[in-house]
Amino acid sequence: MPNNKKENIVKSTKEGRLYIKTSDFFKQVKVQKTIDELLKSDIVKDIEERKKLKLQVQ
Amino acid sequence: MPWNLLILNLVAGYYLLTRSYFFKFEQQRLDRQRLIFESVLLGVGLTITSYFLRIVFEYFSPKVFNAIYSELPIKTPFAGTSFCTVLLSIFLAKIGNLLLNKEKYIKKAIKDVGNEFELLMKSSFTNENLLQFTLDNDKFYVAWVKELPTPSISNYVRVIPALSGFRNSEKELIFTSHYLSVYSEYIKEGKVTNIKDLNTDLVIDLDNIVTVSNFDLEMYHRFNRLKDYHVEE
Repeated sequence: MPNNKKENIVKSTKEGRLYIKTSDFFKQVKVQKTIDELLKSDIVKDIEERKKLKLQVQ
Repeated sequence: MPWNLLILNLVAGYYLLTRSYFFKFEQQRLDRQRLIFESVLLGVGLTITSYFLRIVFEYFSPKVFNAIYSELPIKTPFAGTSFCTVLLSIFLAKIGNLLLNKEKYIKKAIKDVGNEFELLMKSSFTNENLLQFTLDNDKFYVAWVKELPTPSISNYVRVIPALSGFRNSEKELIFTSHYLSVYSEYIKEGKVTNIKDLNTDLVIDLDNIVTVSNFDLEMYHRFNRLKDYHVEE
């Protein structure tokens, strides 16, 4: 279910720490959208190309 | 009233201030010296309330009141009222915490008295925005905030990194790693075969952070195109 309400996934401790469980974190629509955008971005392409070049040199 | 009994009223004020969700999250973010004065202030309020309750109780049930007083091991004037102040404080903190929404009061405390860093962390945490953390060793991380720390207790922030790299001699961003393929796989499958693949939480020491800023992919690309254009000129 990607449409979890923020209030339902945010947990807190008695001492005042706010956190989200990793599994819940990736259910958030905006996070999924950002990951898709980043994967298609020039930044990730550059990183992959640099990795390939490194492997070729080795 | 013997003055040494006032310590109980001070304890009552301190207890409510540090245990009740209504007060404690703001107190964690304020100067520690304020805690003493606010404990005194709250202690006075609790003492007045406790004294008022005692008068009401004595007025409506004088026999029961006298019976309880005769059974008290300490006969010092106002000793019972002072003990009741502590009990009242514990009662208010416990009952209040059952009724109050903890998350709401943590967010309210950050909004009211949080510093600029905390406000930016909260913004990323709430709106799922990416932040760019530059460290004092010239490494940087583009990450989501996964956990908001308690300022007086923890000096670390837990993030989920998306990209990382370093700043070159001209302080330009050089991206070297991304963690997105694993995340994408997790989202598509709903789980990963090895849960350790997802243990990518990164804990950053706040003392090592030089700058934090919002990271917007579109802005980054626009800025870089503009920069390339100026270089070509």
